[in-house]
Amino acid sequence: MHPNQDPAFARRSFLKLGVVGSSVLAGAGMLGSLQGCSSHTIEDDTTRAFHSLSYLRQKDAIILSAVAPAVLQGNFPTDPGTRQQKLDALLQDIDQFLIHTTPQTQKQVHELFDLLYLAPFRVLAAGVWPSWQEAGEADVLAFLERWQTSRFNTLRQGYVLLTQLPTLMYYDQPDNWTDAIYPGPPQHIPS
Amino acid sequence: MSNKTIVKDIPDIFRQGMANGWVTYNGATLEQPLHLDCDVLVIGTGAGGGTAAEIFAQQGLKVVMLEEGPLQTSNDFDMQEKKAYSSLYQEGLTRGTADGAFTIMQGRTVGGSTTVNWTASFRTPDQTLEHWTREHGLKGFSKAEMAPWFEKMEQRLNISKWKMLPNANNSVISKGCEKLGYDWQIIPRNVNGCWNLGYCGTGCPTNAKQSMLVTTIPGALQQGAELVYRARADKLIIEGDQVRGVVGYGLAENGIDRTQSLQVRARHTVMACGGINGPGLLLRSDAPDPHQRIGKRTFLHPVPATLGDFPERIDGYYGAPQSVYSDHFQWRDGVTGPVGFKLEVPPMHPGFVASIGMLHGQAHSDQMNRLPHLNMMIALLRDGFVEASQGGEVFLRDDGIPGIRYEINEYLREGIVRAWKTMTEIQFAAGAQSVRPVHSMSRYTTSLGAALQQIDELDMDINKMRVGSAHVMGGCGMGEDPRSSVVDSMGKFHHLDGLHIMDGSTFPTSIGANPQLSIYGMVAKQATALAQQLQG
Repeated sequence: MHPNQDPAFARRSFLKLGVVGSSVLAGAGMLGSLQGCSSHTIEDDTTRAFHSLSYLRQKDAIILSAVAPAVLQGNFPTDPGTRQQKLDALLQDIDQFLIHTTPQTQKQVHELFDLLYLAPFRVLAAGVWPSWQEAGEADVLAFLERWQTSRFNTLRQGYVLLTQLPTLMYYDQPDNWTDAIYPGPPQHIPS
Repeated sequence: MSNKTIVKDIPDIFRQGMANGWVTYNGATLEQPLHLDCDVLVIGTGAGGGTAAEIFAQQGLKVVMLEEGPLQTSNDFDMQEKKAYSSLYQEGLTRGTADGAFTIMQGRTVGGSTTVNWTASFRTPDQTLEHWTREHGLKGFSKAEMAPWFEKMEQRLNISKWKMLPNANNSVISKGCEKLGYDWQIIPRNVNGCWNLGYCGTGCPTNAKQSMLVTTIPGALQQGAELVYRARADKLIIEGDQVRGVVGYGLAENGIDRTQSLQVRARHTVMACGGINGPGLLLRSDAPDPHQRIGKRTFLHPVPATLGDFPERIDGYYGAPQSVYSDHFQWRDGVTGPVGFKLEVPPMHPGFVASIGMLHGQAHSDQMNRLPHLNMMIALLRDGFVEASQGGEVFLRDDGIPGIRYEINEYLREGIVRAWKTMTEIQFAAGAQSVRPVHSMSRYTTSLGAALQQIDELDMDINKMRVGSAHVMGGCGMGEDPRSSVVDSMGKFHHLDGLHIMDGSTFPTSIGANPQLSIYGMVAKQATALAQQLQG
């Protein structure tokens, strides 16, 4: 179905965000107003999750910290120490990737995370009852499947974004190549 | 990591040229506004701009080349996806259609897409040239008229059929087609002394790929042309009916922040910004468009894909990425029948497969742990040849960067399903033990029957099926009738003087083949004629 034929989203401006060329996302204004508050009324949480992150905010980091391990389930380490280390590196890589995109992409990624961070949106649109900090892998996988199979293109775009960002960033990182995955490129010594 | 190959002692010919006096400006480090004057301004340094710039410079014209992307050369090309995607691709690899259905991979660096493409070099198919002449009224595009220009550029860029053994990833096409009685062929490539490494897509580390970066741009610089990189052309300078150059600004390392303003005044301006960015520049410039043609009929060669899992190792990340193709299904149903397609494979680097291949969770990890055994096959759908295939439309986004809307309609959906089935059949015939189409809901199936049934049952919604594009064509279509085109057959803009467009954005349809040689040949012809006019 063409997105313009989605009745609930008709006449709304769509978020358009591409990751790996897929443009993505949810009609932020619309979904925000469904819950009685638009993204503009959300407290502007600009606290940086880590000093080293320049684009991702604390709330973005919190959501990605719940979503990415589920997306990468199976190959993402389960040991808590290694897990945190990998997560920190992954967030840094996502951060670096996003700062080289476009202002519009950056704005729309923030808007998606603004929405997902709102409790009513998280519960009603994402189906995640616990907070992101408390959500388990099963909660996140159920959310991903809900958006993956949604009748709304905007939510499917969200699914593509939330799965492509962690997978691209995890698997183009040399530290994550096992022999089962990729023997790596030749060594390059500049002249 | 177990790769023992070492790439070293490769002379960085571009940096050497700069050390020997080539004139270049880095827009990221400008400390004051930049003003330049020239005979010909060439905006964009990809297949079109590179080819044109060298021809103008050889004719003694003073040339300035503008490039939005960074200058990255062989010393920078470390074969890592991580760095390459952010630095060498449009929008840091986040370019796509507005509805997210398409992933669009397009270069943004000195040399444009030629710096990151996979080297497939085909002449424009005869059928496409005939269609353009018959349906779009082009002049000078017969096979006989174009042949000398293709030949000239084949010589310039050392294009010939790949002589080494295709890698196992490409051999899936030849093996499968052989079994099924389908035609297949070896791909001509623009390489000279290729090491057969497999990293064309992250920038050639050995300078073997005869991209614009190591051929025509150095050729132009050697003749005294000047290059400004990390410089965005914002608006054409339009005075009355005449284009006089462009205004723009330097871009910081992130490709977003503005540094200093720049202005290039020119007797003549040649746009070679590529599809999407070219129409975007015209739209930002408020160029006259009485028939609303700018940005219309933008074609993408929509690319569906299937993944095959083989018992033996494929190691599809190594070796010349594209060396075998099949056109068996390209023209079989006529030029204007159900959509035809070309079959090829992409290189299988982990970030690319991980993100393009869809899936999440355990199924995704299982797939990645089979990467050395995976083959991906792709079909380039030949869009734009029938009424039902009008392509997409370029528009300006809020941030001033052009976007594209492109609807995947029933005509294309039929082609996607047919291509999935054909590729699945070929992969099984070549020995795959399981196959899945690239769709978020699909799973690997172990028999052809089950695979075809799965394809019939999949929802064909966008963002469930995944479609890619590496070829943006059209949007400033050629034609002799201004009511249905943007430029004439020689690339001259219909509604202003002093402006030509010479790149893939002028194609009236898609090509039906990887487009670089189509651009080289056409632009060599157009630029040679324009150079003579400007001399006269």
